[in-house]
Amino acid sequence: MALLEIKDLHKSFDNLQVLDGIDLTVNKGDVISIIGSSGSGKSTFIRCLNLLETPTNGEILYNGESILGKSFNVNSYRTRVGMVFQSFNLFNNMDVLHNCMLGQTTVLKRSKEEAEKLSMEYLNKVGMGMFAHAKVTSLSGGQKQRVAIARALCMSPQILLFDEPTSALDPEMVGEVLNVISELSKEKMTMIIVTHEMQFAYDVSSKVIFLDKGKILEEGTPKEVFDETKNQRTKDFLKRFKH
Amino acid sequence: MFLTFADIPSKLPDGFFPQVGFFLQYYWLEFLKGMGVTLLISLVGTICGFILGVGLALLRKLEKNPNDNKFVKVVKKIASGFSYGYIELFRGTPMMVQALVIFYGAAYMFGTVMSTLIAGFLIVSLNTAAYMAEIIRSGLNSIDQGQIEGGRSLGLSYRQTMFKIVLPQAIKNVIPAIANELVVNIKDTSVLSVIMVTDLFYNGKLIVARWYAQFPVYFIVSIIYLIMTISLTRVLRLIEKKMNIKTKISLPLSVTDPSGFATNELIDGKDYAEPKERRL
Repeated sequence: MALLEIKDLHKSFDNLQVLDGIDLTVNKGDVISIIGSSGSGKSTFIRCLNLLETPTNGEILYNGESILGKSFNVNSYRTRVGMVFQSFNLFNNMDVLHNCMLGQTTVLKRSKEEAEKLSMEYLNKVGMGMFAHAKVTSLSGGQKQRVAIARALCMSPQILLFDEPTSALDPEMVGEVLNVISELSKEKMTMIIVTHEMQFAYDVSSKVIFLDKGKILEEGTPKEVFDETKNQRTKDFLKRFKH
Repeated sequence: MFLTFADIPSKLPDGFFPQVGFFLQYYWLEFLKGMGVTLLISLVGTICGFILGVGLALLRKLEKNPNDNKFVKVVKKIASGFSYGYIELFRGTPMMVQALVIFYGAAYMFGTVMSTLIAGFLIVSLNTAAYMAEIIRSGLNSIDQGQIEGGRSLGLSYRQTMFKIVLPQAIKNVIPAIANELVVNIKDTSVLSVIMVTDLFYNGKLIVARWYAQFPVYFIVSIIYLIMTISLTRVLRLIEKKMNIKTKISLPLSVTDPSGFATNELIDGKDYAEPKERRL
């Protein structure tokens, strides 16, 4: 069974139609990149998957169960669908370690020792172990984003959502974050990534989606979308990208 | 009770400074007691007001969940309406009038005369709560929405996100304004003399009534207020420095200061404090 099944998803803000009927199936181990110009609805789409935005219409099924039902436990769902934000959103009132531990101890009810052990494991994995007791505000953007990824991983999620994880970073820091993500893709982590890093999308994705004006314009393997597209809009968008 | 020193001379010395010396010599204990009451009421009132204020501010910011049923929606509306009304009521009336209404109101309605000290605690707490609520609310508004989303994305409930992530940061941001509230209370408790709370100002009034020497006595009273506010401001500034809050607390200004200095507090270059009405 598909992990996530999105059917005819619509989202509008007041009169502005942002998502106009999106269908997508996410299977275990998929790495799906969502590309498209600004304002095409990429971020709104990925935020709908985490219910940070409530869809106006349509259906999202998680393991066959609708996540839009009134009795659906959203908080427990969110522990299994992690999110990494463009602006990191690390908790400024805690150090790096406690950023990673908070969700584990309060939501998953793990013991402090267990949470700390797992946090350190993931912090080391993203190369931030030695910053465990550093203040969040003292980190660079790339370091913050790596901590944010570790924090999401600590919840042992089944899916990770990335909302433009490198857009707020300077070029030198982009690499360190992308390395972490591509490492995860090798471990068969299921991921959905909104990104403007075309080369990266080409390299790690199992599927690329080109979103335009709230609709999926093109969908396929990286090769199909980047190299073999017949669609003029897609060609225009990818014009400046040469790999 | 008051004025029981057997050896107080029956005649006041001539000249301003001899008179000041006279009152300090024979009435220092009354001044000290009054100072104690003033400090006690201000401190208790500010702490209780802070706790109530946090509650009021959180009531104003209850989660808007589209999945709530009608009953929960109505309850949330009432709670936030109550908070709004409370803040308007207590910021829109002078504390002196509040003191009279609460003290004599309780006597009128329930036939119980409160101890004036308890009444003082109650009035200052209720009054401060309204101002604190606005301070905390501006602190909450200063926190980036991303902090809430970060918490919610991990599966934390709205309440957990508020208490573990947003509120601690919000309070830290507005500590200067909270500290300022304590300094304001030291001065404003003087209005409690209308219900005979024996604070510094009231004790001064009693001495004036006995000797009819307004200027020397009120001069001493004002100097003591000044010592309290200035030393407290220094202490609070030191604490803020220790807590690494990048701002300067302003010296206590007059309650009639038209500039509304709370609006000028800059924290990390952002203007968090909302325009603040002065009481009295």
